[in-house]
Amino acid sequence: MGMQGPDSFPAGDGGRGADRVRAVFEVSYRRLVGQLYGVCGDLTEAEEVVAEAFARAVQHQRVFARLDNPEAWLRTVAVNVSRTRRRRARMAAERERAETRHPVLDDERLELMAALRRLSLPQREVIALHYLADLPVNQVAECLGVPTGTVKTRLARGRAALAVLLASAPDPSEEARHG
Amino acid sequence: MADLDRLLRSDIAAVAAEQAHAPDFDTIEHRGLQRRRRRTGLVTAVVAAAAVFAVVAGSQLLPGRQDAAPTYPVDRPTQPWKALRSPGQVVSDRAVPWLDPADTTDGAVDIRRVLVSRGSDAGSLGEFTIDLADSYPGEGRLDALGRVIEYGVVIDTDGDLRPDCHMGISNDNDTTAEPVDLHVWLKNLRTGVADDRLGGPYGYPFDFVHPGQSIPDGHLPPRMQFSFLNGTPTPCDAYGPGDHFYVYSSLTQNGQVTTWDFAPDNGWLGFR
Repeated sequence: MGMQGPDSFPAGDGGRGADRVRAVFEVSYRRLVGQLYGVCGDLTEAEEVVAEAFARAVQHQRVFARLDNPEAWLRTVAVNVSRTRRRRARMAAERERAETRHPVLDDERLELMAALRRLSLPQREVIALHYLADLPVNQVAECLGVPTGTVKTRLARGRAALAVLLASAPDPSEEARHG
Repeated sequence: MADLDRLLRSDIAAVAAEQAHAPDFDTIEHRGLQRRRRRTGLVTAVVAAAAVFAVVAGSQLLPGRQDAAPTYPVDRPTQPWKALRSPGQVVSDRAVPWLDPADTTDGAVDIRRVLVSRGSDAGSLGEFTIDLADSYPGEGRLDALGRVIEYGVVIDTDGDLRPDCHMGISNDNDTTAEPVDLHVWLKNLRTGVADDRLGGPYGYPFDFVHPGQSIPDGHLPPRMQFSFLNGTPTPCDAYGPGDHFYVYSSLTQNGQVTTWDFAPDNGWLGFR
């Protein structure tokens, strides 16, 4: 991928606040979308929540300029935005279910994504961030604001649930394609 | 499981990253700056309004005046304090954030905001978030004064405005426990059936984020969060999703409840 790591942004004023946000955007946007794709289960939604996180970074640019790890901050904000959107969607009685968008993946991976979407949100978040996004448990805990023990519990339960779902999935690739 | 491991460790996130559409940053910047300007304008307007109010109302907002007494507790009970009560009418039946006023100077007990969301499955209780005014003292461990801080949610599951389900968490534990053990319980108040646990593994009968165990975070307030893993049976499942609820916190010192807060102070909140 050739992307810089999240440690490439030393904290500090570094000139205009929005310029720092832009610099982080150039380097981290795609990686964050990739990480949030597992959480959201939809590529379009992942793009939207990450874009919203960057808009909030511009809005709070003074705070953002002082962050040691802006990518972690953006990831947490994006996860929170996705939660809020989900909550609002559940509340909207007239909610229309838009078609889910996935990247080009083979059937096996689409099957996994379909199963992942059937997990509870807390389990899906930890599975997506730990396994798919390859974040260590302590960073997942930091991102979600929960104890590491809770992350481990959710990982174990989520894996067990995924195994059952994958074993019983009737035609998962179709399900994943049509959300 | 080997297949599952291989799939989970595959390149899904990288593929999604490669195929993501990157929006124009200028659009994002414009959106953020617009909000920033609106916020700045709002703050300026609020400050100006406060200054006018202070002058008109006899300088009530100027320094030197003693802070107003907390709005709650308004009626210190003559009976022993109890978390369970029938607080009366529904004050809000919408699942929107409930903003609670400053009620006590003990910030770890002072509830400032309550959020609730339905579970994704029918019958799932969902998630309750209690934002606090200040950080939790220590790491959930009893101190020399034996202070116990308790947080709880009480649910009316059938709409009769009486408590049917009570869940709580406190540091009422063994002082020497390492790691710190929290006391977690969920009780069906109709049947008396309870799931009562001391220490981990956590996640049952509900999962939680405890303010004494949370990693400090610059942009989230100290918070207590109750959530339920889908498919995990609890003693309250038979009643399905609650109709109304309230949350509370309390501080016990030397066996006496000395500070507490209910949100809302009186009445119930709804899920709708």
